Amino acid sequence: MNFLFPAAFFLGSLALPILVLYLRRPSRRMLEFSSLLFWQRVLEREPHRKFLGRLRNPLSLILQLMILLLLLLALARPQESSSHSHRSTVVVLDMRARMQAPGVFQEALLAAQDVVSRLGPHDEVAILGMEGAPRIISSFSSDGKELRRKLSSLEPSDAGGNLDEALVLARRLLDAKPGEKRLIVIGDRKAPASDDAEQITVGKPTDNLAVLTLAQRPLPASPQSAELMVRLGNFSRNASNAELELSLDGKPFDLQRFALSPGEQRDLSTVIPKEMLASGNGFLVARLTSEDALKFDNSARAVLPTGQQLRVLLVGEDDPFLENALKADPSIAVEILRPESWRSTLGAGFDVVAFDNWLPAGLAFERLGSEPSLFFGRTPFNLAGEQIAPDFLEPSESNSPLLWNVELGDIRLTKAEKFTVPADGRWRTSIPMRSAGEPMVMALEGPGNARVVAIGFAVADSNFPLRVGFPLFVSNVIHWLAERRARSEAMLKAGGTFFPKDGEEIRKDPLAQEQVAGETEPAPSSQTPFTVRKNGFYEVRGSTGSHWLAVNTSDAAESDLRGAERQSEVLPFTRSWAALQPWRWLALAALILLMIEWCLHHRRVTE
Amino acid sequence: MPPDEANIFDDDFLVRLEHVRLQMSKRFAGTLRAERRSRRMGSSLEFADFRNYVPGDDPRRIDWNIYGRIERLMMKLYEEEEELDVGVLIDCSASMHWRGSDASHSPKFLLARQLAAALAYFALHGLDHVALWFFDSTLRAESGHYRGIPAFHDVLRFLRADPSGRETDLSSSLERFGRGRRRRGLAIVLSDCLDPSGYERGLSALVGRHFVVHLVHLMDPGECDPSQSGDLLLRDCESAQELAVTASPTLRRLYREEVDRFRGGLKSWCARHNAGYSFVSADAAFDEIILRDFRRDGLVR
Repeated sequence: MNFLFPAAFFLGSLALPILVLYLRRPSRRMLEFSSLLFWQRVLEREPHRKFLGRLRNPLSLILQLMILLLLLLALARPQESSSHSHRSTVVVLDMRARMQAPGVFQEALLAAQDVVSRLGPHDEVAILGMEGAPRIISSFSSDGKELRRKLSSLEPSDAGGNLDEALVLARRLLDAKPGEKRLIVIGDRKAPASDDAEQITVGKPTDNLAVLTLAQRPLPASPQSAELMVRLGNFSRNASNAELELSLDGKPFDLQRFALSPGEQRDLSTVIPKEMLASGNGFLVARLTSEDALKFDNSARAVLPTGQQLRVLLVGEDDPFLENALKADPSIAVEILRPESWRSTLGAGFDVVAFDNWLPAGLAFERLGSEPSLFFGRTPFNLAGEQIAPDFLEPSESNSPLLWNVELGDIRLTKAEKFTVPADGRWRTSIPMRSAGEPMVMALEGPGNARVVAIGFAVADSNFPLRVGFPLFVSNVIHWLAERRARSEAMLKAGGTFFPKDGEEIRKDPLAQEQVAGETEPAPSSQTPFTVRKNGFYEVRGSTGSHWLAVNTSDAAESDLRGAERQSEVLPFTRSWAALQPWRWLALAALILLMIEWCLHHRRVTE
Repeated sequence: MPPDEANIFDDDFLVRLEHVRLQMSKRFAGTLRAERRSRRMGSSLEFADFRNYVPGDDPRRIDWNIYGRIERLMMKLYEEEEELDVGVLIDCSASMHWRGSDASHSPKFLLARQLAAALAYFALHGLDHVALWFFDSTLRAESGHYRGIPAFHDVLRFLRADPSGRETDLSSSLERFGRGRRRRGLAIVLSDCLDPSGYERGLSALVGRHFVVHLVHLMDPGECDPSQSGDLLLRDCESAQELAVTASPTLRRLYREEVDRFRGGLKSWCARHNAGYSFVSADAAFDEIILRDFRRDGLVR
């Protein structure tokens, strides 16, 4: 037992004035009595009262001295301490989405506060939170009050993730500390590969239904329409009925019911026609109408492209075939630029830049940027100008998205140049079309979401523009080039970090539920990398406008509460009492004793 | 409302006296006839015993029925009733005038005088000789000897006097009473017995002179269980002696035990010396004292 404030015992000198007050005789009340015979005999029979008689109300004195002693002990702040050595403790607190189950995170906080309350004078505690990625909530500190304040401000996130990263970080923190080390993991189940850690598990197995995944893509046959894919999961011990509501911009448009067996995960898909996407923000929400243990996974959200055309810059001389093919797709807005007017900065304002048999000076494969680009005829991959024997154009990857609904029969080339397939491992190359065995169409995906399509023949060097499949092929190419960019910017998993580009900023708070169908309000935003912890729609503002980011947990492990296990049946109430520091117990005892003394005094028992 | 000095012996009080009779436990020799039976055989109508006839006996007392059955002359003996000499001693010391904080009852001295009046009334009604005394440290006043109901008014006149008392001295008072009485009889002592020198010597003086003693022990409820608590400076109302006391519940409990011990000692002393003992609390009803307590203790019939 140690005392954090031993100087408090100097206040023990207060016992002396208390004793003097009880020894001091106040003016006695004069009272005439018939005879002192019996009083004298009583006092003679009780000789010890001559000594105790000097003390007024000895019971009251004893009680007050006990109260003083308890208060002194409380002020001295006693602490349990098995040794005087320095001890460092890292508390890893699971703040992942599944800790949102009713009462679970509160239990975890109580357990953490209990650890903090048992800090000795030489002990330090650091707190790590695990919410998608490990986060240092508090570095090593001996200030129990500050640690408890930080703990009380925490709440679980909507993120998933793995505890291993937090454990690695915790061990690194401990490695830098001398003396005794202690690693405590507080979560709803035991963490694997943590034999060196003390585990405190809270929570209990609970049934749960979840929307695990919500994804969308343009319908290949009609890129302005959207195809949805939803995955539902039943993490219950019994079969459950689920009712899924789909809404767009806050307006429900579909309601489906399912009977899910225990543990079953079921996929469903549906199509949103382009007419519904002609206007609005495109906020799509898939929501389970029934309430259960976890709220965060009862809905998932996505942002659909609405009323937007892909902006394509066509750079080249007059090419009516290509121009008309682009204009044939109403989802594409094409602008034409002569080669002499080209500036490298012009491409930033367009979704796709198409170079028609013309290549900017000095543009090589190594200097390709992240802007989606389409090259017809002259490309960065056939700069050598090596001709090949013209032949028929043949599909080499029948399931390539560039060839959806494209019929390639009897298409002959009159002139073509040989490609040099890039050897850079960062780029993934596919070859949907060949001619005479040589690559004739290359689709490349590179770093930074860069996409490039290179076509080894000029539009006028084949009979392809005369075919029905040509505008479909051009449309497929444009949408494929623009798709990755749009899709990657519109979705994020909770716990992930959003990296704003130059001039971009992201709202720190998600859109409120009632704002989905209405106007948005100004909110704090961040221009630096921002870790998104809550599900919802986040607005990203840029120099050319704004777009929205849909954030979902999308982690089946977070929705499955069947593996939760409670370490003990200690109720939060008793645990909260047990977490009281010794000085609080002593102060409480002093208060109770004070009340007893007050009652006894008023009942004249202590006189 | 407790009676005060002005109406201490009002009409209601006198009416109640008619319903009780003095009860004696012993027979005494006397010179005058009375309702009390003597150890002597006399000429009253109460049969006592038989004995053989001897010459000189009054032939009118021969029981001829027995002679007819057994042919022996047997004398029929009758008890001779004699008058009783009753002395009532009333403690008039300062402690008898003391009353506790509870004013709902009379002081002990007032009750003692009422009880003395009742006892005198019963004695006069039985044609006994009655005499009353006030005493404190000594015999203060003597009423003279009364006999017959008409003398009861003299008794009341004597009792209406309220001699201011001083310290109690049972020994001196009762010894002086015993020495001054030529005839033995019933001595009724009404006192709180709060004599620091003890009660034994005074009462022994009466018992030793063959008085039949009955002690009526009066105490105020405030004496038996003092209600005051805290730091007190107690002053004896007789000696003006002062005593500092912290009247805690424990001390008050010890005090009550001491009072009980005192009462028990007094009662056992009386029992050992063939004296009667009645305890009277000052807050008790007068009727109940006479009809219940005195009857229970054999003082009245």
